[in-house]
Amino acid sequence: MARLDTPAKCNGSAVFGIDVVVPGMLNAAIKTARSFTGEVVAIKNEADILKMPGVHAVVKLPAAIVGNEEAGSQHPRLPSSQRYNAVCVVADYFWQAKRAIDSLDLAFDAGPHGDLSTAQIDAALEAALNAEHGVAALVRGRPREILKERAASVIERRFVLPHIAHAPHEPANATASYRDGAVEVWGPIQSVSACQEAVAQAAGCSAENVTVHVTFLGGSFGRKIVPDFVVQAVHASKAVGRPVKLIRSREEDMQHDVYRPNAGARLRALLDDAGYPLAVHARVAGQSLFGATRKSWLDHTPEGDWDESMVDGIYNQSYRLPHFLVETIDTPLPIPVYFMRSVGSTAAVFFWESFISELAHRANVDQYAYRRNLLADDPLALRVLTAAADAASWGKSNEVPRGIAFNCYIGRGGRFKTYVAQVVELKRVADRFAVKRVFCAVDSGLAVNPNTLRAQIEGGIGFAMTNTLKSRITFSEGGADQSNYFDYPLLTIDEMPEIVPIILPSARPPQGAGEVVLAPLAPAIAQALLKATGRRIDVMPFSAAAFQATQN
Amino acid sequence: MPVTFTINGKAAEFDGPEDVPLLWVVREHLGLTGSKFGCGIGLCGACTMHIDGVAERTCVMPVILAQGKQITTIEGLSPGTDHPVQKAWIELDVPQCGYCQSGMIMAVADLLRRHPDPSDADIDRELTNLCRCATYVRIRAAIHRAAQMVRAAGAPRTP
Repeated sequence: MARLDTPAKCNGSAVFGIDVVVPGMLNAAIKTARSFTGEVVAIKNEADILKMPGVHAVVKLPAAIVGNEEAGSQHPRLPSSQRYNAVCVVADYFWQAKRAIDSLDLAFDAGPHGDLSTAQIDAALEAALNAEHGVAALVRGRPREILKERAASVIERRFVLPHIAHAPHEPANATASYRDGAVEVWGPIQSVSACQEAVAQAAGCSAENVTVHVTFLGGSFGRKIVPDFVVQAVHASKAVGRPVKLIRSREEDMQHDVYRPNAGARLRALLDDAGYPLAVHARVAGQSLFGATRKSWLDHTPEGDWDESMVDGIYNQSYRLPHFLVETIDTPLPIPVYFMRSVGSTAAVFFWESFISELAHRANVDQYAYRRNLLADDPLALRVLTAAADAASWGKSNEVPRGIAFNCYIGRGGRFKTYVAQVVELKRVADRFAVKRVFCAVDSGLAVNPNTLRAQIEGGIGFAMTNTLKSRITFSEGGADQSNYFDYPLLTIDEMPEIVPIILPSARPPQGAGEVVLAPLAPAIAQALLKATGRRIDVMPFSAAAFQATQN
Repeated sequence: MPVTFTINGKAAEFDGPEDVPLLWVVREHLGLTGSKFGCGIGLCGACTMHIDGVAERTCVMPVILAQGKQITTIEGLSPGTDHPVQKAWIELDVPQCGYCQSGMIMAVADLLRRHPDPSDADIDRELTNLCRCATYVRIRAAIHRAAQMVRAAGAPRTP
């Protein structure tokens, strides 16, 4: 079934947020303090800026940084702030506003976390991974005792990955018209109700007086649920008494994103006589997404709270494990974070499946056979794993380095279950390996429109390629270092693997399919590289050196 | 002196600083918003237009360089969304979010002018536009499909 929006997206007529035109509208460009706790202390050349062509106003904007939700609300909250952390210039045209903002001479105070740095973040993570105890999310059997009794035989691996940015291709932007206590907004808005709530609060009116017009979204991946950029446009409109379209530059979009949190893991296991896991201790640490934005979603234990998203794909994993301990440790940070496509699974499944690969490798058992054994009691999981392996002719040839990975993606609260298995094939080109082909089997229940499900499989794997090979936000002086596609690159067409989607027939009702294919890719690539080069990968994004063929 | 040029077959002018990027002149002054702003530094290609038939990234192109030129934007590529590249894009349902696709289609139309029957290696080398949704599998298939349509129609077509 063809998509209805395709022709409009092929002839320029599709209207995205950035394309909105409202009668009497002005345009604004924005500059935000680098530090997440920063503040504007002086606008040194405001008089000169106001003389620039087309400029109407220079407006200080209150910090709109995502915080915890109100009790009873499901929405990201943008707490009211007395701190002004950004300035926008409002002009007739955007190019005039952009020139003016680039000429603006601002003084900032970096605030209490102006020294935030990647070194600090990594040190906190390392300390958490080394801590004596975490908060137990799951305890089955006697994992602590068994691992302690036979400590000398325990296999341990550690993994880390950084904060990453959504980098939607359409930068955050919105158009707002504030008039007589009512507000109308237009933009690439992923959550109407979240936007309505935040705009009402910012404008000091009731939600019924906020009208939201949703345009096409030029990418979002969770980013545009948080309406910070809409609220900024509302403040600008209120200040000048006219409709204003506020567009973030790519740099502003990337340095003031709501990032996917960092994470690290320490995994320890003891194998039984046949080489299968007897006892496993998995610990994941990092900035807790729910701790920062959704405290009501945290799970409570006597030892403390734990964040399901940090161990999604571990605490609810599918393999047969007699003795199992899962822990989390939150390392709170002053970095704005939010949901990003596939949420915690992009971290947790990398850790988990990479560790399972390590165990199979140590046991000297074929990776597919190892997983088959551990999934023997789960027919739907076995079916999807087998489908991917069969499509890739697993075991038929050893010439091509391959890796296999599995995940059952469980929607929050068990709302859906989608089974995914991938086989990655590498190809050697000169002295390097590249990801050449990915077989991806999916059981997401009844596929209502296989055309768009295939598109999600293809694009989701491409998106995961960028996460796996390229994406890393580092921090210094209180803010993000990367700013545009030269230091935060995206996948290009020459790097895109061939994709073989395998959609399994199913009588189950339709399940989730937009996020599910991302997580298994990184561990499948890492496993293929282990086979090809003998090297183990424990850091995402994978380094270029990881793909270097070994001398022979 | 205003900068004068032809856009999608019609005369246009811009009376302003000559170093304003062509993209913003076209989007804000001429009201053609199909060409997108992505990076502002000529890296992503969302702003691609044809200048005298050649694909250019217009977010970094001063408007003065358009003086006297024929400019084609996505809106002017074909009268009925029926350029072979657009037809192939629709047939294979290439776009997801769609934000990059105006620029992508313009870049591919130029690529096919230079390589009427491009190999995968030609595509890998020449097509540097970015797609955040990573619709590259279908982009590649649609390029081959468009090339096939052009061949079937006889002569290569230039917009």
